[in-house]
Amino acid sequence: MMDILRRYARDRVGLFFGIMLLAFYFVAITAQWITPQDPFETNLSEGLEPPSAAHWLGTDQFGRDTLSRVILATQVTARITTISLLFSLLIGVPIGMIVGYIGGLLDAVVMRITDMMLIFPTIMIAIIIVVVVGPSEHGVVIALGLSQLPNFIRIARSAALSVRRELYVEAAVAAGASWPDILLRHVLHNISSPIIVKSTLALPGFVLGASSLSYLGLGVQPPTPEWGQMLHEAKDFLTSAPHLIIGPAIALSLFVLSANMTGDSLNESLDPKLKGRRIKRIVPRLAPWFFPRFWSRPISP
Amino acid sequence: MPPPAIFITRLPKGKPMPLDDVLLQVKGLRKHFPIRKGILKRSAGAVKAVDGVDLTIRKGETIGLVGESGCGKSTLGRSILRLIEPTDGEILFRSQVLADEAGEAMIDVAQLRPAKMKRLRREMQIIFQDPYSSLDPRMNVGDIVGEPLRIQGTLNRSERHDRVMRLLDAVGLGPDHAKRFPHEFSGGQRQRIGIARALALNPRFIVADEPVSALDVSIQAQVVNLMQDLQAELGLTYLFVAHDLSVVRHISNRVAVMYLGRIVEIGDCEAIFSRPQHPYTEALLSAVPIPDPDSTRQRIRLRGDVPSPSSPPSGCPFHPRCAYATSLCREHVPHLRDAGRAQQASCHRIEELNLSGVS
Repeated sequence: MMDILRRYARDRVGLFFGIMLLAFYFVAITAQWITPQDPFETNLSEGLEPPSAAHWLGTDQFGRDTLSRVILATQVTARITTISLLFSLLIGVPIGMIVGYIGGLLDAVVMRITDMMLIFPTIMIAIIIVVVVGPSEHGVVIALGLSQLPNFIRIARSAALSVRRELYVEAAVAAGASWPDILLRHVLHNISSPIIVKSTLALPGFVLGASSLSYLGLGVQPPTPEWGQMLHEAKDFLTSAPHLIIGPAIALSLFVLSANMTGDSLNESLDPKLKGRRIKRIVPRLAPWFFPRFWSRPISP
Repeated sequence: MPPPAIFITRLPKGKPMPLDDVLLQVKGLRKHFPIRKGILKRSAGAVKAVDGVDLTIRKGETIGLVGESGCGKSTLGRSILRLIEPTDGEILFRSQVLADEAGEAMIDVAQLRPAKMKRLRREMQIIFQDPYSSLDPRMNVGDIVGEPLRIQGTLNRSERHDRVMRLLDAVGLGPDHAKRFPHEFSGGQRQRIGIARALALNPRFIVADEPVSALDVSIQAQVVNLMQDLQAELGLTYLFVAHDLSVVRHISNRVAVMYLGRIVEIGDCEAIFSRPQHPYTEALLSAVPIPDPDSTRQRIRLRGDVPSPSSPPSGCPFHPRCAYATSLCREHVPHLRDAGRAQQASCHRIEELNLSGVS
């Protein structure tokens, strides 16, 4: 464990973005205490003011402090995306691992179900769920979690399929290991790296997804601040108060970028074969940020 | 290594074994892989990878199992350990771990339920051919060698650590290697790690599935010698699967020749090499290189390919490629029968043929 951290720390770019990601989570956790003003307090006489000493990022149409709202939105977004990620991770990975390792009829049935889930666009799943649950944070979490679930099942399954045929698994069987033991000791261990990559690439996707749903009015409802929802409100004042867009847009971009870069560096430090090696490839590592692949899902990992 | 319970001197080569002390007896072992066709997965025949093998292995001996690729050698070895579930047949093993329940009687491994099978696995282990994929790249060497001990749960953590250190020492690795990862080792060192893992549970019987085929020739000798030393020290019994006949000749007391899922000839190592009684054995032996440029020996070239194990030829499975085949061979299946002092072969023409071996 210390070994992995040490290897991780050696990668300067990864370290920088890792600290930034931690900073986002720190802000999210302490949001209640660090907001300079009450994010819900309206003051119609001070509406749409440009940045000033009192309001660093200006005020919105109701006179609420934008900086405070961005800070609270960090908490809302972090909560939504983290729970959605855990949802698809904790359900998808065990299912994928088990069907991949056992195979046969079970595998075929689960794969057809994920195929069926994959043919619906995320936004359609979200709309259906919102109709059922009602537009709320719960609805967004379920919609995002379900939309990424098939991807996690598939990636865990294909990784488990390749590990299943390895001789070290046969050696464990020869020593008397049961299949849950093999799943935990060998399969999980060896599929952790694609899973971590997938998670960190999905995290920005979740952020963008949550923001998109809120932007469309299907997600978090006002007055609760959320980055996408704030952008949605700010677009009406794009000409009269362009500063409103800056705060949430920068926060959203930086969060997505730092999650992506952190995952990439983590992946490299997790691989014992790359021990002691420093790999500098900034350009390919920035690529996923410029081409976020949330709406276009790869068919197989 | 704890003080070995039994000291067994290596059995003299070429001399007939005592008939008692049978460790493992395989009777009529079959493994058929069904071929499924179409979306309905209808069964359309089966690949008869192992098709009725009888084999007796005695305590402390090394039995070499040879044959060309695809003849079912590895499947046989894996079926004995039930890494592949055999389709049919008995695998009788004289178990010490399960002795309290069954006395000294032989236990049928093929019928054991999972809980007992897990305990029996302490006595039967395997060494793999490929030292690269047989070690988990994400585990360090100490964890790999200690894994069977952890699974069986017979030792606590510190006992396990001590045992791993002794095992590494026994296979010629140092204690500082325990914290390293497999990719830091060469092929020969990796094979030593695989051997240490196989020895961890103190087994009596080891299936060595082409343990040196993937290694350089210079490293092969080291690994083979290590296996022989460990055998002498620990009283191990080996089923040594290989296609390299010179390695087999070096290590084996007895040799079994497989063709198309069946044993066609079995006997003492020297007898098989000097006086083969089956035409297939003769053909195999003629492929052994002789380090003599003036040698005039003719290599026997077999016609055609190995027949498909899903539809073996009628009669003797070897008859389409046999230079000595008669109409009898085409119609009747020969069975293993005595041919010489310590040798059995399944050929109709044992008495008539005078086959040449290697000196």
